[in-house]
Amino acid sequence: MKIIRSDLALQRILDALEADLLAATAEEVQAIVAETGMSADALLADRGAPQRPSHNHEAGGDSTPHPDLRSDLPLKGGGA
Amino acid sequence: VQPRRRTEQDAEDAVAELARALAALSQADMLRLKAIARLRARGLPSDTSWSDLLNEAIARALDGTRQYPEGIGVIAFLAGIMRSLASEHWRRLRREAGIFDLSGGDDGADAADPAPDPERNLVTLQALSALDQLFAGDPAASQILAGLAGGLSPKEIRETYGLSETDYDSTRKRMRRLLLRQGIAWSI
Repeated sequence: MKIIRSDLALQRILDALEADLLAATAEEVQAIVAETGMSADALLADRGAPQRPSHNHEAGGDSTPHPDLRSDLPLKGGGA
Repeated sequence: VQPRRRTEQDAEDAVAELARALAALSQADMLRLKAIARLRARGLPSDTSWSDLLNEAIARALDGTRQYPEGIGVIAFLAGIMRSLASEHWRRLRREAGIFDLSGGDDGADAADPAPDPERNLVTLQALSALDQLFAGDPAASQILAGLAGGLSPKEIRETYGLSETDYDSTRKRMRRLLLRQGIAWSI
Protein backbone atom coordinates (compact mmCIF):
# COMPACT_ATOMS: atom_id res chain seq x y z
CA MET A 1 0.00 0.00 0.00
CA LYS A 2 1.32 3.38 -0.99
CA ILE A 3 1.55 5.91 1.82
CA ILE A 4 1.12 9.53 0.83
CA ARG A 5 2.55 12.32 2.95
CA SER A 6 -0.37 14.38 4.19
CA ASP A 7 1.30 17.74 3.59
CA LEU A 8 2.20 16.78 0.05
CA ALA A 9 -1.30 15.44 -0.54
CA LEU A 10 -2.85 18.69 0.66
CA GLN A 11 -0.48 20.74 -1.50
CA ARG A 12 -1.46 18.75 -4.59
CA ILE A 13 -5.16 19.07 -3.85
CA LEU A 14 -4.97 22.81 -3.21
CA ASP A 15 -2.98 23.35 -6.40
CA ALA A 16 -5.50 21.40 -8.47
CA LEU A 17 -8.54 23.05 -6.91
CA GLU A 18 -6.95 26.46 -7.25
CA ALA A 19 -6.51 25.79 -10.97
CA ASP A 20 -10.23 24.99 -11.13
CA LEU A 21 -11.08 28.27 -9.46
CA LEU A 22 -8.77 30.17 -11.79
CA ALA A 23 -10.71 28.67 -14.67
CA ALA A 24 -14.11 29.68 -13.29
CA THR A 25 -16.01 32.03 -15.54
CA ALA A 26 -17.70 35.28 -14.55
CA GLU A 27 -21.03 33.61 -15.32
CA GLU A 28 -20.34 30.85 -12.81
CA VAL A 29 -19.42 33.38 -10.14
CA GLN A 30 -22.51 35.45 -10.88
CA ALA A 31 -24.69 32.35 -10.64
CA ILE A 32 -23.30 31.66 -7.16
CA VAL A 33 -23.92 35.27 -6.16
CA ALA A 34 -27.51 35.00 -7.39
CA GLU A 35 -27.99 31.81 -5.34
CA THR A 36 -27.03 33.64 -2.16
CA GLY A 37 -29.61 36.35 -2.68
CA MET A 38 -26.99 38.88 -1.60
CA SER A 39 -25.20 41.57 -3.52
CA ALA A 40 -21.64 41.05 -4.70
CA ASP A 41 -20.65 44.07 -2.60
CA ALA A 42 -21.98 42.45 0.55
CA LEU A 43 -20.19 39.22 -0.23
CA LEU A 44 -16.96 41.10 -0.87
CA ALA A 45 -17.31 43.01 2.39
CA ASP A 46 -17.30 39.75 4.31
CA ARG A 47 -14.34 39.60 6.70
CA GLY A 48 -12.28 42.34 5.25
CA ALA A 49 -11.94 41.64 1.57
CA PRO A 50 -9.16 43.81 0.18
CA GLN A 51 -10.18 47.23 -0.92
CA ARG A 52 -9.94 47.96 -4.59
CA PRO A 53 -6.99 50.26 -5.20
CA SER A 54 -7.87 53.74 -6.37
CA HIS A 55 -5.94 56.06 -8.63
CA ASN A 56 -5.31 59.71 -8.10
CA HIS A 57 -3.85 60.80 -11.40
CA GLU A 58 -5.66 64.12 -11.40
CA ALA A 59 -4.07 65.19 -8.15
CA GLY A 60 -0.68 64.38 -9.53
CA GLY A 61 0.31 62.69 -6.31
CA ASP A 62 1.38 59.17 -5.55
CA SER A 63 -0.80 57.10 -7.80
CA THR A 64 0.44 53.77 -6.48
CA PRO A 65 -2.42 52.23 -4.56
CA HIS A 66 -1.88 50.49 -1.26
CA PRO A 67 -4.25 48.01 0.27
CA ASP A 68 -5.63 48.60 3.69
CA LEU A 69 -3.31 46.33 5.62
CA ARG A 70 -3.38 45.35 9.22
CA SER A 71 -0.27 46.09 11.18
CA ASP A 72 -0.10 42.68 12.76
CA LEU A 73 -0.21 40.42 9.74
CA PRO A 74 0.83 36.93 10.76
CA LEU A 75 2.62 36.56 7.45
CA LYS A 76 4.59 39.74 7.74
CA GLY A 77 8.36 39.47 7.68
CA GLY A 78 10.75 37.13 5.95
CA GLY A 79 11.88 37.44 2.36
CA ALA A 80 9.54 36.36 -0.37
CA VAL B 1 22.76 38.41 -26.78
CA GLN B 2 22.68 39.53 -23.17
CA PRO B 3 19.16 39.72 -21.75
CA ARG B 4 18.20 43.28 -20.85
CA ARG B 5 18.56 43.92 -17.14
CA ARG B 6 15.51 45.12 -15.34
CA THR B 7 15.84 48.77 -14.59
CA GLU B 8 14.16 50.71 -11.86
CA GLN B 9 11.85 52.13 -14.51
CA ASP B 10 10.87 48.62 -15.60
CA ALA B 11 10.00 47.79 -12.01
CA GLU B 12 7.93 50.95 -11.63
CA ASP B 13 6.16 50.21 -14.90
CA ALA B 14 5.36 46.70 -13.70
CA VAL B 15 3.88 48.02 -10.46
CA ALA B 16 1.84 50.62 -12.35
CA GLU B 17 0.61 47.94 -14.72
CA LEU B 18 -0.37 45.76 -11.77
CA ALA B 19 -2.20 48.66 -10.12
CA ARG B 20 -4.14 49.22 -13.34
CA ALA B 21 -4.97 45.51 -13.56
CA LEU B 22 -6.16 45.48 -9.94
CA ALA B 23 -8.30 48.54 -10.45
CA ALA B 24 -9.86 46.92 -13.51
CA LEU B 25 -10.93 43.76 -11.67
CA SER B 26 -14.65 43.14 -11.84
CA GLN B 27 -16.70 42.12 -8.83
CA ALA B 28 -16.77 38.59 -10.21
CA ASP B 29 -12.96 38.64 -10.40
CA MET B 30 -12.71 39.89 -6.82
CA LEU B 31 -15.04 37.16 -5.61
CA ARG B 32 -13.01 34.56 -7.49
CA LEU B 33 -9.89 35.94 -5.82
CA LYS B 34 -11.62 35.66 -2.47
CA ALA B 35 -12.50 32.02 -3.13
CA ILE B 36 -8.90 31.29 -4.10
CA ALA B 37 -7.56 33.04 -1.00
CA ARG B 38 -9.97 31.12 1.20
CA LEU B 39 -8.91 27.85 -0.39
CA ARG B 40 -5.20 28.61 0.02
CA ALA B 41 -5.70 29.70 3.63
CA ARG B 42 -6.92 26.18 4.42
CA GLY B 43 -3.30 25.10 4.49
CA LEU B 44 -2.42 27.67 7.15
CA PRO B 45 -3.14 27.94 10.88
CA SER B 46 -6.61 29.19 11.73
CA ASP B 47 -5.30 32.51 13.05
CA THR B 48 -4.31 33.42 9.50
CA SER B 49 -7.40 34.52 7.63
CA TRP B 50 -7.89 34.46 3.90
CA SER B 51 -8.00 38.26 3.89
CA ASP B 52 -4.63 38.43 5.70
CA LEU B 53 -3.19 36.19 3.04
CA LEU B 54 -4.67 38.12 0.15
CA ASN B 55 -3.76 41.52 1.58
CA GLU B 56 -0.19 40.39 2.10
CA ALA B 57 -0.02 39.09 -1.48
CA ILE B 58 -1.27 42.43 -2.81
CA ALA B 59 1.20 44.30 -0.59
CA ARG B 60 4.12 42.22 -1.86
CA ALA B 61 3.04 42.79 -5.42
CA LEU B 62 2.53 46.54 -5.06
CA ASP B 63 5.75 47.20 -3.19
CA GLY B 64 7.65 45.47 -5.97
CA THR B 65 8.78 42.53 -3.83
CA ARG B 66 7.04 40.37 -6.39
CA GLN B 67 7.34 41.68 -9.89
CA TYR B 68 4.26 41.48 -12.10
CA PRO B 69 5.32 39.61 -15.22
CA GLU B 70 3.94 40.39 -18.62
CA GLY B 71 1.36 38.06 -20.05
CA ILE B 72 -0.04 36.66 -16.82
CA GLY B 73 -3.44 37.45 -15.40
CA VAL B 74 -3.50 39.42 -12.17
CA ILE B 75 -5.59 36.76 -10.40
CA ALA B 76 -3.16 33.99 -11.34
CA PHE B 77 -0.28 36.25 -10.28
CA LEU B 78 -1.76 36.91 -6.85
CA ALA B 79 -2.68 33.24 -6.47
CA GLY B 80 0.96 32.35 -7.08
CA ILE B 81 2.10 34.82 -4.44
CA MET B 82 -0.38 33.44 -1.93
CA ARG B 83 0.92 29.95 -2.62
CA SER B 84 4.48 31.14 -1.98
CA LEU B 85 3.44 32.98 1.17
CA ALA B 86 1.90 29.80 2.53
CA SER B 87 5.13 27.88 1.88
CA GLU B 88 7.13 30.73 3.34
CA HIS B 89 5.03 30.67 6.48
CA TRP B 90 5.96 27.03 7.19
CA ARG B 91 9.61 27.54 6.27
CA ARG B 92 9.83 30.43 8.69
CA LEU B 93 8.35 28.36 11.49
CA ARG B 94 10.87 25.63 10.74
CA ARG B 95 13.74 28.11 10.83
CA GLU B 96 12.48 29.48 14.11
CA ALA B 97 12.36 25.93 15.43
CA GLY B 98 15.97 25.46 14.37
CA ILE B 99 15.18 23.02 11.58
CA PHE B 100 17.15 23.79 8.45
CA ASP B 101 15.48 23.71 5.07
CA LEU B 102 18.12 22.76 2.53
CA SER B 103 15.86 22.63 -0.51
CA GLY B 104 15.49 26.40 -0.77
CA GLY B 105 12.55 26.41 -3.17
CA ASP B 106 8.90 27.32 -2.90
CA ASP B 107 7.46 24.31 -4.56
CA GLY B 108 7.21 21.32 -2.30
CA ALA B 109 10.21 22.46 -0.32
CA ASP B 110 8.56 21.77 2.99
CA ALA B 111 6.90 18.64 1.77
CA ALA B 112 10.31 17.19 0.90
CA ASP B 113 11.34 17.30 4.54
CA PRO B 114 11.10 13.91 6.23
CA ALA B 115 9.55 15.27 9.40
CA PRO B 116 7.08 18.15 9.12
CA ASP B 117 6.54 19.89 12.41
CA PRO B 118 3.56 18.86 14.56
CA GLU B 119 1.70 22.13 14.02
CA ARG B 120 1.82 21.71 10.28
CA ASN B 121 0.72 18.10 10.60
CA LEU B 122 -2.27 19.18 12.63
CA VAL B 123 -3.25 21.98 10.22
CA THR B 124 -2.79 19.66 7.27
CA LEU B 125 -4.94 16.91 8.70
CA GLN B 126 -7.67 19.39 9.63
CA ALA B 127 -7.62 20.83 6.12
CA LEU B 128 -7.76 17.41 4.49
CA SER B 129 -10.62 16.42 6.77
CA ALA B 130 -12.53 19.60 5.93
CA LEU B 131 -12.06 19.04 2.19
CA ASP B 132 -13.12 15.43 2.60
CA GLN B 133 -16.30 16.54 4.34
CA LEU B 134 -16.93 19.22 1.73
CA PHE B 135 -17.13 16.60 -1.01
CA ALA B 136 -18.46 13.74 1.12
CA GLY B 137 -21.86 13.75 -0.58
CA ASP B 138 -20.33 13.21 -4.00
CA PRO B 139 -18.57 9.83 -4.37
CA ALA B 140 -16.96 10.73 -7.70
CA ALA B 141 -15.62 13.95 -6.22
CA SER B 142 -14.16 12.02 -3.30
CA GLN B 143 -12.45 9.67 -5.75
CA ILE B 144 -11.02 12.58 -7.70
CA LEU B 145 -9.81 14.15 -4.47
CA ALA B 146 -8.04 10.91 -3.54
CA GLY B 147 -6.48 10.75 -6.99
CA LEU B 148 -5.29 14.34 -6.80
CA ALA B 149 -3.80 13.67 -3.37
CA GLY B 150 -1.85 10.80 -4.87
CA GLY B 151 -0.53 13.00 -7.65
CA LEU B 152 -2.43 11.16 -10.37
CA SER B 153 -3.10 12.76 -13.73
CA PRO B 154 -6.73 13.14 -14.91
CA LYS B 155 -6.27 10.12 -17.16
CA GLU B 156 -4.91 8.02 -14.30
CA ILE B 157 -7.77 9.10 -12.04
CA ARG B 158 -10.33 8.13 -14.69
CA GLU B 159 -8.69 4.74 -15.17
CA THR B 160 -8.25 4.06 -11.47
CA TYR B 161 -11.86 4.79 -10.57
CA GLY B 162 -13.56 3.81 -13.81
CA LEU B 163 -14.80 7.31 -14.61
CA SER B 164 -15.65 8.28 -18.16
CA GLU B 165 -14.25 11.50 -19.50
CA THR B 166 -17.71 13.04 -19.25
CA ASP B 167 -18.10 11.85 -15.64
CA TYR B 168 -14.72 13.26 -14.76
CA ASP B 169 -15.34 16.62 -16.39
CA SER B 170 -18.82 17.05 -14.95
CA THR B 171 -17.55 16.10 -11.48
CA ARG B 172 -14.73 18.63 -11.66
CA LYS B 173 -17.32 21.20 -12.65
CA ARG B 174 -19.48 20.32 -9.64
CA MET B 175 -16.41 20.53 -7.43
CA ARG B 176 -15.58 23.97 -8.79
CA ARG B 177 -19.11 25.22 -8.15
CA LEU B 178 -19.08 23.89 -4.61
CA LEU B 179 -15.70 25.48 -3.97
CA LEU B 180 -16.91 28.77 -5.39
CA ARG B 181 -20.05 28.63 -3.27
CA GLN B 182 -18.02 27.82 -0.19
CA GLY B 183 -15.32 30.33 -0.98
CA ILE B 184 -17.64 33.19 -1.75
CA ALA B 185 -20.52 32.83 0.62
CA TRP B 186 -20.33 30.23 3.34
CA SER B 187 -19.11 32.38 6.16
CA ILE B 188 -22.05 34.75 5.79
